[in-house]
Amino acid sequence: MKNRIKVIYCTLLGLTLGACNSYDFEQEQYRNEINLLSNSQLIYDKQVADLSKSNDTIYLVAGLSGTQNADKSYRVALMEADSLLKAYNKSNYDIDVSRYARLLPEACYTIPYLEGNIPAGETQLRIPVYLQNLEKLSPDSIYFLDYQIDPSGTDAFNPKKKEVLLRIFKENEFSSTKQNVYYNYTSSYITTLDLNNPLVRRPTSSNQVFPLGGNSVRMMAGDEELGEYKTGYDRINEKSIVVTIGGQTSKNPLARKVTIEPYKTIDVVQMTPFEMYDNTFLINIISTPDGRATYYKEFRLHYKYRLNEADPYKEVKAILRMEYSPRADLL
Amino acid sequence: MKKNILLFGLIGILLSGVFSCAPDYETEFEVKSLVVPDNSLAPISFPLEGGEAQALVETNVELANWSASSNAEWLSVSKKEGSVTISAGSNNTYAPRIARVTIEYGHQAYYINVTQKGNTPFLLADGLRNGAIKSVSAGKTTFSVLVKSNLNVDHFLIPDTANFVHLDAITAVEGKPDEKTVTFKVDQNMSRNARSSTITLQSSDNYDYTASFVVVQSGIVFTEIPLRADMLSSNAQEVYEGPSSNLLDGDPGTFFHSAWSFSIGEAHYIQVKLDEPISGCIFWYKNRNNGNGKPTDVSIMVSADGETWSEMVHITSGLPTGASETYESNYYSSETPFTYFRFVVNKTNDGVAPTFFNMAELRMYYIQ
Repeated sequence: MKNRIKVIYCTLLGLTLGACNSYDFEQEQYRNEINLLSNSQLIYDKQVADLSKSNDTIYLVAGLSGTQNADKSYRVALMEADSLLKAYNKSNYDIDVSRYARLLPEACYTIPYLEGNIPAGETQLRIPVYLQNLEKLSPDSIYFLDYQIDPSGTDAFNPKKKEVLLRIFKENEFSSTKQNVYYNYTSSYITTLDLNNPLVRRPTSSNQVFPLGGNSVRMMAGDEELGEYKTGYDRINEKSIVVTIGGQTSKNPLARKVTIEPYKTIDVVQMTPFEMYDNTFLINIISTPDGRATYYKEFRLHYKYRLNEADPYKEVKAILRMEYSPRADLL
Repeated sequence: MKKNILLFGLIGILLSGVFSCAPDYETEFEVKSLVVPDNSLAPISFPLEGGEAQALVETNVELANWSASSNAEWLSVSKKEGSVTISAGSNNTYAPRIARVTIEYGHQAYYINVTQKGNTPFLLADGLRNGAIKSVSAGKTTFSVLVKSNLNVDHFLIPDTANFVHLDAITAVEGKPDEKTVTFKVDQNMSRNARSSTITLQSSDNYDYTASFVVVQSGIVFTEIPLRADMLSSNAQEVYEGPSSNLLDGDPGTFFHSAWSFSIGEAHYIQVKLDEPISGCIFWYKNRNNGNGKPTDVSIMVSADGETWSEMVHITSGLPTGASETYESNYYSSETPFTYFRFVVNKTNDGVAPTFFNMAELRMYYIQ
């Protein structure tokens, strides 16, 4: 009996100790190699430049592989490249050269240094890319920075992760190029100002809004259709307007004045404020009696436009609305 | 005995495990909270001259750790233990204004909506906010409206669909700072129908407070010119039929016919020499009751002296080719008054000038 108890105790103890026997994580399980942070397509597209700042910073990130922090520092040097961009364009657009992604113009960025060290005990080197003049960039084009590891100035590196395309997205308070941003027409009217054919339409569609500068966006006039975006170059140039958001109104600090101008060839005339179509950008907070609130970003516009000189104007009284969460915006 | 030892040992381990997992309900945690009572969350409405209001704050949070703020410059907020003071100065504008006070601690926030009245605006056009009517004649003219307002009336909205009215001038009325005389130009009405346009007056001081009046322009009145046979002539009068006097006899069965029995080297025309010069006219004609020789391309030439001619209009479409069909032109005017009027036929439904044409009746009208 006594032996049986001992056997049981010993077995339990053995099992317990055996279960706790950890794998040997003390030792390095992989190689320490430099790599450039990117996804499986060698593109790093997680950063968005804020247009409301005159300068914003994103980063080229060099990482160090391995399961342990390295006990020595690693040298990293980068150099400009173009092979990934060429591969990207060829594989995505083939001979459709007009749609090719572009390198970010030099006037739009500064990189203070391209060499550095990943110190012992650390796993990353972040090389800043100072962005400026992004309002000059078309929101319809894809821009990249293409950099690769300079072998002469870099310690051991992973050849499969030696080059990266850094995607340049831009955003402002009203829209972003990172994802499609749509505002929906609500309580809107589009009236053809033709005495013989006074057509009134009530659009309920949505309008895709593109960021231009820190305080400006582009959208299609009235209910003109953007159509298929890939083939929309001419339609965008002919039918788009630019809405620039200015200062607060004296009546409501949540409303800001806007000015409406043509994007390219369209004839647009901003009309005077009319009732709720008061040419403002409004943070509209609709509260329910139980204290909850729904937040909307709203363009309240009053303008008229025409695509051809011989056409009658179309008067647009529009509320373009997008629901948002102020807390999520802070994340 | 040893079995019991083993049993008690295992039970003891089990119990200690169970009790070690029990939550600690004994420790007192200090919960920080901030509450603005419902009656302090009611919207605040300040009069024109401003004022002060209090919002109660029930909190155990230190004063420095919670905040109260306003989103408008005109509304100031100050906090003290247990309350927030909200104050507004006088509103010198002509529009009401709104703002929002936020009282918050961490992610816990309370909002109080605040409004303040503005100065009361007035805006009258010829003594009325809406409904004043200005009647004008069909001719090119001007008219004035007396605008009375304490606003800076800087927008006169004329609809695109009735844009025959144009803002001309704004003049101050001496000794009356709130009054202005606004003069508008009106285009000539070329239609027999009356037309109207609603003019809206708007101020950037308060876009929502508008006034309007209606301009009614009477239709044009045309008077027939009494034509006589001796006023008519043609460069190609047919000798066998169709004298030009038939155009005036009121009989659709008779007709004028240009030359078919001989040829000339220029386009055929019918000419009218008026007794008095006119600056514009409408002409009307009726086709002969057959199918040929119907004008399809016509130049209307005018002259003050019968020597120097200018083309008043070139009509290339819309002319009738059916038997006995009628045509009334638009009103056409010349830069200088004219006494001679020529209906020159460049093409007919049969051929290109020089070719014959015919016509049953002809009339001309001028603006009275």
